[in-house]
Amino acid sequence: MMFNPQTLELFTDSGKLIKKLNCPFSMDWRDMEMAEDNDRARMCDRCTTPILDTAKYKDSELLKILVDKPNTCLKVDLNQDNIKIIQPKISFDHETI
Amino acid sequence: MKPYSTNPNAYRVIKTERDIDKINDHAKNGFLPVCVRIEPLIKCCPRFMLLQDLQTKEFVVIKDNEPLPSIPDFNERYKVVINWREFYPIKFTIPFAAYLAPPDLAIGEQVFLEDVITDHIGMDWDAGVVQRVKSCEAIWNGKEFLVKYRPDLYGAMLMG
Repeated sequence: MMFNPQTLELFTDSGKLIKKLNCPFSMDWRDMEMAEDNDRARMCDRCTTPILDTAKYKDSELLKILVDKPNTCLKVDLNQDNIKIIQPKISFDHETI
Repeated sequence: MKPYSTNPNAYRVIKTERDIDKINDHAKNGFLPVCVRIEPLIKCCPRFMLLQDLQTKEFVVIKDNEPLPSIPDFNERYKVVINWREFYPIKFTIPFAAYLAPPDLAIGEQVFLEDVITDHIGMDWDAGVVQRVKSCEAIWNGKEFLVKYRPDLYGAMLMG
């Protein structure tokens, strides 16, 4: 998957938008307990919802989950192996970089 | 956000040496050089673009976090010589570097690595610019330094 740190948008490797991260709270992943029914997620006390660890999911899995439930929360670590960081594009009059 | 850049817990500072002659000098002087392979991680490299001013013929380097020259006739004034490319920000002539462990370092001692050899990603929250983490705390296990990198502190872990 691909992540743009400026827009906080997460994409599949083929460029489909999975989600724009937008958590307004300052939550600490390390303080969260594992979700009971999902070893790839942790529970957020603030919203009492599971947060999926994107390092443990395939693009296609995340895309399907987010299509079904667009408000699903995700965790992204820029150091995780399955992510590529993309930079914003800068436009000129006659070309796009 | 660079919380560890100033050694907040005042741990003993461990220096890094990147020159083999100096590493050998330190070894002769009683230090235990802990050699670590340098493996550049391309996704934490800053990027640059090289422009040429068509009027003055001078070359201008623009980095990730710098704005492009703000002039109305930008496209007439500047030529893009090299488009955005990553570059590894550390100069090295040998494929490894060494942490200089003092001989009295105790197993389990927490230290501050002034110049981390391995690559870890941090992020400038305001600009969203990805950057390499320069300094970090670590723990000595008698053989190597276990880097206590915390992506949550460096803005490299995001949720939402």
